[in-house]
This record gives sequence, structure tokens and C-alpha cells, in this order.
Amino acid sequence: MRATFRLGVLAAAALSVAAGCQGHITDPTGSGNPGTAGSSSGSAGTSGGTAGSSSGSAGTSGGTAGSSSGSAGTSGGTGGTSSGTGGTSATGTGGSTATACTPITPLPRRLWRLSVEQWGAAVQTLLGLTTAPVLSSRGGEQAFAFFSDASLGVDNPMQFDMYTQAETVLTTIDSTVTTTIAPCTGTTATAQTTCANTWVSAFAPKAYRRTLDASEVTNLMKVYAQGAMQDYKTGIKLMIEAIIISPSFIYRTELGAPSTADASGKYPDTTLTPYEVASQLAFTLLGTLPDAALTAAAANGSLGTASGIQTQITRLLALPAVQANLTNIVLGWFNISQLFSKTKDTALISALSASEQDLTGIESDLFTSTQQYVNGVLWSGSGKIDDLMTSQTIYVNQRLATLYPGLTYAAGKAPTSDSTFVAATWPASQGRSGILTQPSYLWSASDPAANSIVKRGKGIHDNVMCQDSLGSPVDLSTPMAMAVIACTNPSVAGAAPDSTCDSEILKSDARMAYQPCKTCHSQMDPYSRVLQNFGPIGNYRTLDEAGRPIDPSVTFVPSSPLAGTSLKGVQAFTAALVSSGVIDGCSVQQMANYAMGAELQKYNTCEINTVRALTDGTVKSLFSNVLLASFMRARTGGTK
Amino acid sequence: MISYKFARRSFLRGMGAGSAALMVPLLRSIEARAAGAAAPLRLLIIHHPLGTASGLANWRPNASATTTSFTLPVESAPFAPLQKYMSMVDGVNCVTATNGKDTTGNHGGQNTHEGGMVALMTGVPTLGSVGQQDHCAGGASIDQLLLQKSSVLGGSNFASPTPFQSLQLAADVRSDRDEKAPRVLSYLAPKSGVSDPDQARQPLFPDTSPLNVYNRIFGGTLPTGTTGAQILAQKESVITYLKADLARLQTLVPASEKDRLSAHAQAISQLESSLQAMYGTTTTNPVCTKPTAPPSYSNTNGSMQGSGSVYTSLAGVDYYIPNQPTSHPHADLGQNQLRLIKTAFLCDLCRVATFMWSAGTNWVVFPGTFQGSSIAGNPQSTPHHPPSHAGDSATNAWLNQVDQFYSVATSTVLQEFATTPDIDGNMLIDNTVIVYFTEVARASDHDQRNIPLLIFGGKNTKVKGGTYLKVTGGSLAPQSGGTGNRPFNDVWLALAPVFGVTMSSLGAQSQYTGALPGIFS
Repeated sequence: MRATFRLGVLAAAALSVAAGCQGHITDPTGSGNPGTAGSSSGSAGTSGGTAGSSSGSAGTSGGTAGSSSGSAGTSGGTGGTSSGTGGTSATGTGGSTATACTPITPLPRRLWRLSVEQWGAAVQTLLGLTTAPVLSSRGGEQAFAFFSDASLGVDNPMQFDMYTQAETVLTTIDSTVTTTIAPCTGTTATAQTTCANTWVSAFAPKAYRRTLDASEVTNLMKVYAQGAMQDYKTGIKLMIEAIIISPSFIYRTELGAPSTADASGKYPDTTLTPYEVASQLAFTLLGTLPDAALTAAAANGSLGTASGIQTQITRLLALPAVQANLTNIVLGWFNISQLFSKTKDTALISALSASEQDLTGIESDLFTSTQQYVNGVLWSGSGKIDDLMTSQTIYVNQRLATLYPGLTYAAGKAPTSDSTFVAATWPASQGRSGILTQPSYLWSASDPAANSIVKRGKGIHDNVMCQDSLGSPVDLSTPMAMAVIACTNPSVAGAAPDSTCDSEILKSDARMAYQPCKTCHSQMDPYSRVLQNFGPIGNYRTLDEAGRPIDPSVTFVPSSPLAGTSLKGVQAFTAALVSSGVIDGCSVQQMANYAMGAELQKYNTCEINTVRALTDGTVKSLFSNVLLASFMRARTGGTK
Repeated sequence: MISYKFARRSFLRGMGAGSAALMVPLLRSIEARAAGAAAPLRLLIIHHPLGTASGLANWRPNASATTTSFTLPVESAPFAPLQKYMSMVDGVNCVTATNGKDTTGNHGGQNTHEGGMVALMTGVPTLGSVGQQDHCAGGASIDQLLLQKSSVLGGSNFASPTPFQSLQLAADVRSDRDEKAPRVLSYLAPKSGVSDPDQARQPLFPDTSPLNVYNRIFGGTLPTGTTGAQILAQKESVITYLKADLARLQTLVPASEKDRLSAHAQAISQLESSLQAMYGTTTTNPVCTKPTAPPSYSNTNGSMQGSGSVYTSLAGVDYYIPNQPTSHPHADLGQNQLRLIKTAFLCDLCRVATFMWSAGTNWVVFPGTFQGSSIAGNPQSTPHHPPSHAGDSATNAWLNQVDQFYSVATSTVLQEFATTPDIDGNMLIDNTVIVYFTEVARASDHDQRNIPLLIFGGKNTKVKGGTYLKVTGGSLAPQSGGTGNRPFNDVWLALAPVFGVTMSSLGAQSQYTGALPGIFS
């Protein structure tokens, strides 16, 4: 599931490849990625990044952005006044003619509410809890959202739920408040007040990811004073409660340094402060509060420089906690978690014994399986996104080995229980390839008892190809649409159906042939037709639901990044995704969406193209270059 | 266990001076009303999904003109016991419009579930749409608009606001897709200074857990031995801190963030009300009795079977639990929500509420054979929405039964409104206007002419009960062709004066003509 906030894109008309993309907002870190030339068939970008044209009231370091031209990857970059996006050109999507990129609309100065999961993780980190509190009221956030929707706020049920969860947390920590969290040897009220003041002066900045004003500490001590009328522990607990349900805790700020609006009421464009950069890196890479090193880097100002940011990114990417979080982000990219909301016809799991036919248990197994798969590729293998698409490995326990037979194991390594997962190799005859044929993916993108060509196809169109948004669906109740649904040519009055219309493929044939369905379905259906050999739980099959032999041959339409390509089966498809650079290009876009909390609607954007050109195909390079890009920190000022 | 009716004096004595000062106006307000003042008027808007099947014949009586003598057909028949309180309005059309970029190209989602939800509740052009038919509300919904403008609905713009202002509850919000439009009834006005439609709209997402609602507005159940007054004073200090923290943020953000923080401020104020309900006294109102805690419902997504697209990622509770034929959690959950609203009204915790039985594209699963009717073909259990487009007679009969189910479930609780005494000695329904509507008129093709609409209310609401109101004289087309219908907004324009609000227009020019006569006296 993905959040719905979409990042607008400025009109491209006035821009050209030769001119590069104009910088918009100054980034005083000067850490924009260097401008690079296009990486595919189009002629290389011929100019460096031109200097940013913003008002420049922030970003005073200036510099000479875009100082070179022509050769790939050499331009731009050093200046403080450019967004560092110069020199990009082609989309890099497999041989299409280079077209002018469009700059992304800069993000505004904003608040970004923590996701439900981030709030829980932050509380857990802050208090050293064994498990994170879980909010049931999500404030409008979708379950299994790929990224945290920056547009959401805190509504009445969510605020109450935070309070309720905080009460539970206070119960959990009750015995450790005065022994571990905030010990105090003082026995007088004065001494304990001193303890409390000292403690909260250190605790609250950690929670809020910034320094506090004196008045804020004073306000917190008023809370303490009310609780301390009962005892010291109650005072401390009351402050903890106030902090973890407070606006300063639940919102990340992306406001930049305090500024004053001009006479017209407009604030200057700006960039994130070092503390805000620390939060950005932490919540993107760790999924929780900044660690001590990040906080220190914010405090000493090094996160105000490109090299300081790079140093922290490099450090963080080596941490197991970050790698685990990035694995989950990749799983979210492919909507793997949604399998938990997709029930299945029990007939599909009849190969299992009655006691093993537990849908929830199988879903959990499949999630673990793919988690291990992604871990294996990213952190034990090459680390390349390409390999996610092509690996022949699956991790199974005994139950999954029964449900997906024919696997090959290392000698003596077959699974012997449901609690242990082992690596196995798919049968070559099944023609599987990478994450698109992992059972979890296929399970989550299928209906209860049947494949869904539409669902799989749209998912790949949007999330794997990263193609621009399809038009909205047509009104299915019109006579034209109803005719196509019935596999009938809608342009011929009284026409007989083209087929028996009793399978997903036959229905897809009609959708791809006739308007009003053709425009969209001819784009997205082919992507899932290559997966037809895999059923609704990811089971291998040679006959479709109507008992007909499956032919996974497709030809992609001109609007596809694989335009004109004809191929057969998913292995050929993923090979094309890799060789064309489509999957690497899309991975950049998806991770930029995640890091920005906003969904780019266009593939061919200058800033993202620049990142695409810089990445080496590994997940570490991917996140590093996304987070180093200056558009991640630049913010428009907004109005008073 | 602390008494719910906590003695006023000991309550105030036990509080800190600052906290007590905060509570006194509320107590005085409650006590004044309890002393015999007139009961307040309330507004309850209830949505049920997917219109009628196959058309209006199963919903409206066989009458060609306004009448007080009529018999309700299968889908509306369960409301017969409430007929004397009821005005059935026939002849208002949903008219959508947009001021923004609309990916559908049909001006705010005309003839769609999504567009209907937004247009009917807000009455104004959308800001545009995002994704697939997710139309972004361009204004406050009518419940919130009246709450802001009416001096009698307990809104925060007026003296003696009710503790919780308004409630947004639902029995289920699963939908075809995870769009916001079909899953929300109530909206605040869009954020100012925000151009992105999705960012700008301010949906008030409904709470689908009766237990959460119970804990939030009725204070849950306190552990034995809890000293409420002391805890309340402590929690009030937390609230004071939260407000100061929010106020600090307000000084730092650009205009585009201020409305979001204002909504957050409201959430903090409501938390304060919840804490007062939990740890303090609430009322001496003789008709207000704290309800028993409702159950926590387990999700039953696992019961979903059969074919059809399943896009939703949201959990929910289906009509039945497999192998438990007498268990109907969807109905129970929804009725518990409605009863919580009823008690909240009686206790004057709020005077405005919206309730959804489901999303406009209902994904609650019903048995394939339901109340004696079976969907065509293989009658497997199915979410409500997919078969609604089938159009065959067997499936239509099944849809009639689902529609009737919602009528029964709603009528059952509304009859309790008609038999529950209010503080003024009348029945609660005498002081409550209840609107029961659906987002499309005809399920099979989303036709939005002649939106099925019932308005209930007793003697203080001015509702002309016992009436089948056939709208005439308008310029819009009925389903049957010709002209005579009027825009749905004309109903809201007629409703507003009941709450002392004068509204001469609502929405774009195409969306209103003027207050619709005949519903209210």
C-alpha cells in the first residue's frame, strides 16, 4: 500500500536538456550530487548544473555549481546555490529517445507526523523497551503503507490512543523509573527537583531530536511538580508521558532555522538544520530516533556539510539495525506485507496437513521467507537490486517446503521443522525469477482463489516499472465497458463474445483489445501475463484456472520502457528489467518517495535522474545517493 | 471502583485550583441543563452503502405525489415503526463539481461512490482528485459546518461547548481501494495555503472500534482504588504542557501547517475531555447513565471467499463469523456505535455525530445466500460491492436483502431513540434530527438521481413526520426522465435553519437552488 500524497511536477515546457535543470533552492551544505549526464541512449547531458536561481537568502556558501559541461558525471555539485541536478538527460529506460527532464517541485517547509510504527519505535528506543507500543488508531494512515504519508495529522482517536499506550508504557517501566531511567539519590524535595531538572534536560532533547528552549524545560518541570506532589517517581513518569504524546515528539520538523517573513509575508527558502538532517537520516535508515553519533554530529554542526552527512550515512549503512530496516523498506516497495490482509481459498493449501492449514501462519512464514530472501541478496550477497529480480533462491521451513514442492537443497539441509528456514533453489523448469516469483509477492497480489492480472499488472506498472500514473479507471457501468467485461467487441452491435470469457487471460485479451479499457490495460496487463504460470498463492502451474495451457508471451506497447520488446515468461522479463536499467531507475524513484514521504508522479525528473546516474546498483549506493541529494534538504519558505 | 457520578464538591475539592477552574463552567452548564432547561437539539447523519437495487421501486412507496398515506417496500419497510417521525424525500440529485484538476474528467466524481460521499456531505466543489477517483473534499462537511455556525449544537465557537463537539464513528471502512473519499463522512474545511488537494483536505476519519469510543468519551473503567481527582490534576498538567508545546510549534510553521495544528489542538482538547470523563465527574444529568463497555471485535477478514478483486488493506468485521451462524458482528458493532452516540447525546457529551455502516464501496462480506436470497451463479460469500453491478434479478434480490439488513439494523436503534426519555421529558428523537442517506441512488450503475433519503425527527425538530415528499418543480431530471428534481444541497439549506443557521447558498451554482420546502415545518 502506498500513501496517496503525490509530489507535483513543474511544467517542463521551458526546460531543455541542454540547459540542465535549474536549481531551485539553496542548500548551504553544498552537498548536491554532482550533475551527471544521461545514462542511456540519449545524448549525454551537455551542460553542467547551472547555478541555482533561488533568492539565496539561505545557502550563503554559494559556489560554482555546474561548472563543467559535456562529459558525463563531471558537472555541478560543488556549489551551494544549485540543487545539483545539472547535466542530466535521458530517462535511462531502455533506449527511448531522450526527453527533457522536469524538475521536481521543491518540498515546502513542513511538519511530518511520525508513522504509527515510527512512533512506537521511537518510544521503544527512548525508553529501552523490549517491545514497541502499537497504536490501533492510525490517524488516517493506511495499514501496510510503503511510506509515511507526510500529509497526516493527529486526530481525536489517535491522540487518545497515544495517551492510552503511554499509560501502558508507564506501567511497564514503573519498576525501573527510579533505578535505571532517572535514578536520584536525593531524598528532599529540593534535591529531587534538581535530579528531575537534570534528567529531563537530557531526556527531552533526545526525544525531540533537538535542543530545548529554557521555557520548554520550565514547562516540563511544572508537569513534574504536579506529579511530585505524590512522589518523585510519579513526577518523572508524568514528564515521560507528556513528552511521548506531545506534538514535538510526534512531528518531525522540516522547518530550517527560524526566520522572519518579508514584507509580503513570505518566508525565505531554506534548508534543514543539522538536527533536522539527523532526524531525516535516522527515521529513513534506522526507522527510529537518531542514535548518539547522529545527535553528536548534529550538535557539532557536521551534518551541515556534505562530508558530514556522507560520513554518517556510511556509518549507518553498516549497522545491522539499519540493514534490517532497509530490508523492510524493500519489502514495503513490493507490498509484501499486504499478504497479511489477503486471505486464500483453503483448497489452495490442501497439500498441507489439516493442522498446518493455518492461513495466518502461512502468511507469517511467507513474510519471513521473503525477509530472509531480501536479506540474503542485499546483505550477504551482491547487495544489488538487480539480483533481487533474478535470484533463484527461496527460504523455506518445513511447511513451505510442502506447499512449494520440488526445491533443491544443499546436501542434508532440507528443513526439518517450521521454526527454521533454510535456503533452497527453485526447480529450473518453473522458470522463476527473483522477488516477483517469491510466493509472498504473488500471494499479496492475487485474489483469494484466482490470479488477478489487473492487480499484478498495475502493481508492476506503478512500483516496478515506475511508469507515470495511468489515467483513472473508466466507469465500469457503461454499456461499452460492460461489453468489454463480457469479452465482446463494444463497437459491434449485437456482437457475440470473442471467447468463452472464463479465464483471466481471456478477459485480459478483451481489455487489451477494446476501448474504453484498452488504453490502460494494454500497458499494465502484459506485465502480469508473464506471471501466469504462478497461481494465487505463488504455486507453479502449467494450466490456467480454465484448464488451458498457459502461454506467458507478451509484447510491450510503445509507452512501456520496454517498448516493442517481445518476450516469453518472467525470466526473460526480469532480464529485460535489469539490462534496460529499468529496475535500478525505479528503485531510485521508490526510495526517494520513501525518504520524502511523497510520491513523485513523473519518472523523468531531473533530480532523480541525477541520483540514478550516480548509483552503482547496490542498495547502499541507492540510499546513500538519495539521502545526499540536495533536494532532500531544500525547503521552500512558505507564507506567514 | 470509583463512582461514575462523582460528587461535585469532593471532585472540585480534590482538584488543583487551576484544574477546578477549568471544570466549573462545564459543570455549571451540565447542571443548568439538568435543572430543567430545554433539551438541546442534536444532529445525527447516518450513511448506508450502495443505494438501492435494482432501482427505487424497492425503496420508495408506489406514490406519484407527496402523501402521508403510503406503504414502504422491502428495503425501507423496517422503518415503518418510525414512520410518524419520518420524511422520505424523493427527488433530490447528487450534483458534483470540482474547482481543481480532476483525473476522472467528470467534475468531482458524478455517478461514483467516491464522488457521492464527498459531494453529498460537503455540498461544494472538490479540490480535485488524486489517484483513482479519490475526490478531495473542498469544504467542511455539513455536520462540521453547522457545528461551527450553530449556537445550539455545542460547538467551540459558542458558549458552553460540549466536551467532545462531534463524533465520527463507523462500523467498517474497508473499500475497493485505499482511497480516502469513500471511507470518510466528516471533513474540516481544507487547509489554507496548501495547493495539493490531498494535502489540503482534512478528513475526520471515523473510529471503527466501539471499545475505543467508549474509553475515549465515557472514560473506560478505572482500576479499583484509583484516586480520580489527584490523577486528574496530574493529567491536567500534561494537557497544559501539550497545549504550550503545540502553541510553540504554531509560531514556527508556515501558514500551510497551521490548520493541521489547529486540528491537533482540537484533539488535545478532546483528550482533556476524555480525562475528565475518566477521572473526574461528568454529569448529574438524570437521563445520562454510563453504558457498559462494549466488546472488542476480532477482525474477520479471514472469512472472505470467492472471486473478485480484494484491494483493501484495512481490517474489518464481516456480517458473520464462519461456523457461528447466530453471530452477526457487523450488525452488533454498528449498533453499539449508534448506541454510544445515543448515550453521548443524552449525556450532552456532543450534539453532532456521523456514522457510517461501511465505506461507500462496501467491502463487508455477506453470505452468498442471505435472508433467503442468493446471488446468481455460485453463491459464495462476497463483499457487498462487487455483486452490486451484476444487474440480474437473483442478485438484485440478494442486494435488496442486504439493503433491508441495514435498514433493520438502523431502525432498531432509532426506535430506541424514540423510546428513550430525554432530559426535558420528551423522547430523544423529539430533539434529534437524523439523516439516513446513501451515496448512489442505484447500485448497478451508480445513478445519482433520486438519492434515497430519510429524515427523522420528533416534535422539537420541525420534521414533518409521516410524509413521503415527492420533490417537484426543479430543473433536474429524475431517474424516470423529464424534470422536477432538485440538488441535494437544497436539503441542507432546509436543515440549517432548524439549528438557527441561515444559509442561502451552498456550493457551486449547479449544486443548489434554495431550501427545499416540505421536510421541515
